[in-house]
Amino acid sequence: MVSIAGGTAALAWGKPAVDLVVDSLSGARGLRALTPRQAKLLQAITEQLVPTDDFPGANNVGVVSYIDGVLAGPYGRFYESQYQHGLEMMEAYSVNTFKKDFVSLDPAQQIDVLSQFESGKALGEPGQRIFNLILVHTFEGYYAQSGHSADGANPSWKMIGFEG
Amino acid sequence: MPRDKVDAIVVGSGAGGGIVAKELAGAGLSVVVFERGKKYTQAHFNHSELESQYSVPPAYGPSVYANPRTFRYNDRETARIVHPGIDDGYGKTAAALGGATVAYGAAAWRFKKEDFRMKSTYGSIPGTSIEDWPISYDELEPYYEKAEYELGVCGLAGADPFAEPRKSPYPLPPLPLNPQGEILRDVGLRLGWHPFPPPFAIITRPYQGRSACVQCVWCLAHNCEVKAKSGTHVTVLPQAVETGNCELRIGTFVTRILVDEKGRPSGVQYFDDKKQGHEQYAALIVVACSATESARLLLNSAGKFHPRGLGNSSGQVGRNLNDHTGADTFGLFEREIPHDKGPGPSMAFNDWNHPRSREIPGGGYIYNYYCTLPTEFAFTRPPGEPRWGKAHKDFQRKYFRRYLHLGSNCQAMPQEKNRVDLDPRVRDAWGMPVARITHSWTKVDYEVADFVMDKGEYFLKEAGAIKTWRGSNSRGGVGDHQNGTCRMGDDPKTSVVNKYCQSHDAGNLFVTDGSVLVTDAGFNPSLTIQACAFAASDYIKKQWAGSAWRNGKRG
Repeated sequence: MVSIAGGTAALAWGKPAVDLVVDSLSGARGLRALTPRQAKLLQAITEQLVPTDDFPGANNVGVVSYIDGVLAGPYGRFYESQYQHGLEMMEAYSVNTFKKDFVSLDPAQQIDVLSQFESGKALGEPGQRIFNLILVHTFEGYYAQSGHSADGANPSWKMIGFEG
Repeated sequence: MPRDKVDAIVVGSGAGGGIVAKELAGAGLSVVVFERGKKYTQAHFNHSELESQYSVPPAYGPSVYANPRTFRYNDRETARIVHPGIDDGYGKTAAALGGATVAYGAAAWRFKKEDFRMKSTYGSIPGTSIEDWPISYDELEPYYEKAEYELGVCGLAGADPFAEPRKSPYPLPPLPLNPQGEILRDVGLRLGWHPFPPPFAIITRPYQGRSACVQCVWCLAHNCEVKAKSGTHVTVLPQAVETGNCELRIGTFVTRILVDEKGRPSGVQYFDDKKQGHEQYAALIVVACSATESARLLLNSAGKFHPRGLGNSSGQVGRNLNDHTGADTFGLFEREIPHDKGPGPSMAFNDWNHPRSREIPGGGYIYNYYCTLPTEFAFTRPPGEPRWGKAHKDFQRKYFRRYLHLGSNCQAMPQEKNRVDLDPRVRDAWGMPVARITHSWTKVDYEVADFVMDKGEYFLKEAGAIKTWRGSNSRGGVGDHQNGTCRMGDDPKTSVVNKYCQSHDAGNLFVTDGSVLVTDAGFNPSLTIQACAFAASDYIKKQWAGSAWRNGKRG
């Protein structure tokens, strides 16, 4: 069972299986595996993966909390060193390329860094692997997590017209 | 806990094991079923992509840390450790009461005549172990019917002009048409194809005390909320227990089949859910753990009488591991095609399954796929389309309801070198050598999938798709449709079991799961596994006299 950092929303169906905490844009609370610095970097990354437009983006619906929960959960050990090294790689690449850390880059530069990791131009296969891993977890946290949100805290289903 | 000897042990409670347990218990034999997985009830159902058989962890087993395997594409590589749900190549099926039938898509196909005669139909194919079965469609037909009626399968007899003759109608009418199915029907007819509603082990009317399918969109990879999916855990297993002759030992792991002082299978060694070791003795041993685990169990049961593994005088145990390639195609449309009515597939074509032109050896069906789910759709994009960011999010909103996915499972060729054996180094939580999977597709497999995908994309364009694209197959790796590792045959030198799923080497040993498939057809295997399990059960019921075979067969 996927475990998500402690929170309040009850499930719509059956027995409660996971708890959900919703990030606010001002920062994540209740981190269990990520450091605040890692969480801030992930917020910036995930917000480019699913940006806010006229619908909420990754940061509004608890994606970083979801990822934190995966890493703190029973299967986190399969992913924690990839995140550790991968986030360091992304930070180092931003500084080497743009002389600023990722969070300080403007959106176009952040998108550029992510594209380089996606294509392998940045750091080859290891860069692609961490990019793909973050992408998988981001989409899970953004699109799948809606199933656990009884109070509409995650509106991604409504956005696409899925009733579940 | 020491137990008296019983008549039969069944290892594994899935598609095949569940049936044999019920048949033998119903005939008055004392049966113990060992199942390493958990029992999942209707409470174990969440409308969530995060708790499915495809998620981490797999919602219906096997448990991630206890059950590693190793995987490699070919003999030249060192196999790497893989965990269920985490890594590609693991080759999992569910480990649960009911096995894979707890969460499967419940497609319930009968194979075609050619599927039992692949070598006679298509000749030898170099590099493959293509072969005929020792059993024909006609011989299996009554058992297909039995499986359909006993489990509850819906469909429409006569609707598929390429289906083989059947004596009786389906016990239940097909699933209702949905907007996807209407497109397949209308465009299919216009193209001169032959659309028909595909059969499913899903009840469309109240049946045997269970209520009918409610057409939710969560069918595939989830337990059924209303017990309409006819898994063994809601059909034959409760019936087996009701006879009073069958005991289910849930959460137990069988590590080895034991043999007596003459080398004859005599029981099993197993661990309970508190990791205590026990032995259970029985006159008959039935192995039904999935193609990977059944082969592994037989190999782990090697000893002085069976140095290559129990039942493995042919050397074929574990070999010929096979699965299906995918031949999925996708189309985007300008108009909405709502997909709120599940489970999804409501029309199919068998025009490209053994096409009469014989352009390809086998082929597969095409059907409209299970209802699209949000995260799955987030990972589905045409080549060149952004995989993240604003454009990706816009695409998700625009096309989630303007999208048609045609699914297909294509027959692949068995190869001797694709196999399960015991990893020389890695052990599981019970200290047993784990399965090492060596598997890759061969050229003809890709050609067959491409052929069917050509047809799929053509169809989608004719249906008005503004853009079409196709899926792709990895280099190798098996999954839910794994099969072939204890293949049937008449010749003990080249096969593991006979037409009744009985080991050539030990008359009281049977294998009744996907392991026995000789070739895997362009059809999901469950109903065929179940028909073979009914046939094996019938043989045991008629011929087994408690300690020997009435027909004088040795063992």
